[in-house]
Amino acid sequence: MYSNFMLITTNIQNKLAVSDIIKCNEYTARFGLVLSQNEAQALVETRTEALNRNGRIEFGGGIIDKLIKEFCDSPFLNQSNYAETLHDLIETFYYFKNESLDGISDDELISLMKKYFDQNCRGSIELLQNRELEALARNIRYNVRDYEEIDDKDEYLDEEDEGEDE
Amino acid sequence: MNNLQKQQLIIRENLDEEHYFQSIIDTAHGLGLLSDSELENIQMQGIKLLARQTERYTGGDSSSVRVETAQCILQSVLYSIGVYLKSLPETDMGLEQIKQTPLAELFQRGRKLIEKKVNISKHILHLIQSDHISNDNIAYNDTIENGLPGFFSTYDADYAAHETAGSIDYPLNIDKMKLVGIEYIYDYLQTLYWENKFCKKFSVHDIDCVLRGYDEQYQDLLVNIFRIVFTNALGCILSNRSIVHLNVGQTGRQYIKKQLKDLPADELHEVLSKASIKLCREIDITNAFFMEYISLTLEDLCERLKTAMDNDHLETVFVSHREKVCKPVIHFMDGDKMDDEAFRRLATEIGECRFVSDKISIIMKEIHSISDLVDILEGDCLFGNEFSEFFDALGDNELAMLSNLLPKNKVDSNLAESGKEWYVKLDEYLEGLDLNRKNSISNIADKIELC
Repeated sequence: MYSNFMLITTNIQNKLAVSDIIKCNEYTARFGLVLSQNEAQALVETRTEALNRNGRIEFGGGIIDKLIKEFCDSPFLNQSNYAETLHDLIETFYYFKNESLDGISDDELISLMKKYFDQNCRGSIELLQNRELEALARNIRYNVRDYEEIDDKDEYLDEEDEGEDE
Repeated sequence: MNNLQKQQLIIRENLDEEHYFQSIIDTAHGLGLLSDSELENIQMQGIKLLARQTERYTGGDSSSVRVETAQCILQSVLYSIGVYLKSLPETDMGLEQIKQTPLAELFQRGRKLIEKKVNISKHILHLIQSDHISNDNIAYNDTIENGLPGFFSTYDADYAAHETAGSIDYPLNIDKMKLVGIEYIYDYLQTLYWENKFCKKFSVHDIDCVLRGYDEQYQDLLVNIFRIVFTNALGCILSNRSIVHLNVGQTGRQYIKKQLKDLPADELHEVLSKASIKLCREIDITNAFFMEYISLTLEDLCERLKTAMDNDHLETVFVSHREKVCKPVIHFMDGDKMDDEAFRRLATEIGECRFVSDKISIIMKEIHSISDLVDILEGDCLFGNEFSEFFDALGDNELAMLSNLLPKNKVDSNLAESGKEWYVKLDEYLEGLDLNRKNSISNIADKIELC
């Protein structure tokens, strides 16, 4: 009966988020990464969809600009895969906020995503989602103290190193 | 001089108790007292307030939360504002406050009021705990000792002020179930305090006798003690008896019936009202809150009384005194329980017997405790007619002991639905016995106690 009180004016929020993303170009340009107005708009739409899909609600500017600033110096990003990777990262972020039962802060999750993306996953979003972050979320859910220490990390690295040696 | 009251545009009684703030907004908007732009402004303020509270909730660690969490926080914020608005003397004044004062400010005022109500409620609970009625009603004692303290240990006034946690089973005579959160608990405790204060005017023994008159097993019932005690006390006043022992009696009931039977509803209410005022004076409780509570109680009592008089069942309203009967007790000395391994071997052996007579002789020889016997009855050792042959072999004491294990109320808990075949078989067997033996078993069952 009274639920319509909660009409969240997403339009205003989205406009603010787009301008925040465009502002990030000043910082990311030095890494050769720039987003157009349309691309920024599309990222905000992805965020809205990801929030809806994961049953979450967000106030303020959100996490897109934080993701951009964290990931822009990744050796695995270039102008051609930049926007696409950001779409995937946004979806991944909200999915794992839920999977970890909100047991990890935004900043820490973004920082661990970057670490795994650059090191263990060598720029693979699939490995990031299906291997590293799954293990991280599981560790958090089971209250493992050093949850960021993922057990099978060394094993994977060894396998990959052996492959390279051959 | 006549007292002139300002006509309120928003009628208090029509507003929703749980969603008070939202219902003022909705009603005002519907009546044109709140323009679209004003409503939009309030909504925007609400969203900002929600964002701020959510940030506090996450400690700034997370910019997003689950939708359910946000809904809970928003409801808590709106509830807090509602608590403040309810404290204002007029609904129109509430609307003015909503228009003129920032929502964040109204929220803070509501939050302070909630804190105050929590503190007062804790104090009332302490008073109740230190001076409640001594009786064996489980729901009453458990609510006071565990349920209500449980509320305060889990209540979250910041982010879930509208939730009423805690297990509050004991029903009040008039329970304001429309209220939620601390408002409900505050009202519950205040009412319980006055109900107790009234009942404490009578002796523990008399209260016990009246409750026993209501139901011998009143300890297990979810029944309001005050309601029964008050009704009987009022009955004493109506029948010109002393209220001290709360005993209306058959002659008292006949007198009441004679006096009140032909009265129309409004006159009956008038008589009850006068009697209740006399009662309150006699026991020296004239608190305004309590008097208001009594007048609400009379509304319901008036109808019950009318129906009872029409059906000639006045004893359902003014219950009889019943003293606790101390029954002679038979102590049943149970034997030793077998160890699991030996029991398994025996159960297999019984199961393998071809003739029921062999089964019976093994059970009689080897089983020495009731719990082992029940395990045998439930362990697929006896089938169909074998049960009745086995029951034939048991003495009255054993049958009485087993009959005590059957569900108490056969209507409520169907024996067949219990999934235990021996329940049904024993019940059929006992029903089939001749009346003398049946009575003798039933008498033993009443007295027997397992040692």
